[in-house]
Amino acid sequence: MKSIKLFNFFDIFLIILLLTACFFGFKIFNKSGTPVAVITVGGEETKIDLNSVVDPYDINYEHFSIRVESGRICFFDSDCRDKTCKKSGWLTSAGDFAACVPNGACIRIVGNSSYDGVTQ
Amino acid sequence: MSNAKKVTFWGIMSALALVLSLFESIISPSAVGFPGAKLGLSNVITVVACFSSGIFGAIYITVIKSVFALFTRGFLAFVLSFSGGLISALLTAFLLKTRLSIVSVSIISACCHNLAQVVMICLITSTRAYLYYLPVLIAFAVFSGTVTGCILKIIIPKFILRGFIDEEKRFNSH
Repeated sequence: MKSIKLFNFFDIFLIILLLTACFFGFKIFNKSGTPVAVITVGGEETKIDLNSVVDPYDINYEHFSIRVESGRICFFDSDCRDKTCKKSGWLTSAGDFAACVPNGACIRIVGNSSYDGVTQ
Repeated sequence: MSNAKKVTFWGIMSALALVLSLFESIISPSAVGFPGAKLGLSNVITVVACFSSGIFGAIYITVIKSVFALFTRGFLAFVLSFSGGLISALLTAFLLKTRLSIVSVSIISACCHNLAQVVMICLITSTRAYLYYLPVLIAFAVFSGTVTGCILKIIIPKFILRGFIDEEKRFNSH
């Protein structure tokens, strides 16, 4: 059986170019620092400094709820169909992302250097 | 191809597209921290269809996959599957006529597939926040596009050998 040459020069170039672009895009979006959760529901943002959370609590929305603990956050319950949001599990560090698209909600973690004066 | 061969070919292609989309939702990487990411194995079938009978073959497989998503995963899955699928099918049909290799075509189509889906989600939910996840999804698309492209590079010559794809369409399957 003759072997097949899978990649040519342009393929490798394209892969490296796109991955580099993604790396810098990721770096620009997610600055380092202590984790701050940004919850977006229907276009409205709520910011929570996760390290300043002492007692765990739930945020209840109409169709889903979010659990907040010290240093971590997750979708706790949802009435959506595929439960992708719950399967994403706990979010802890900058760059982590979970979404519940049917309910138009998402949580992302950013470093606190992206925001000044974050309040609960 | 004779009529009987045509019917068999499209029957098998449709069935394969559905089985592969079901299979990839079972082994989906969402479980290990990449929500929404998928391997896109069923897109192999879209490209084979595109090689065999051009843009209409590709759109046919896209529609079959989207309707399957509608019945198994709901309306939102249908909208996302169709928007991503249509963009990448049109792009694949166009790029296959250029001198780009099949691996490059797969990678570009996979990236645009994910881009179209994220834009669609932003439009539906009127939230820009999903765009922040784009670098992760594009990086994953580069990986899945490479896998798909390599699979195609290996199987396209076998389809040509058995007469399912015309020899003259071989131009950039190398």
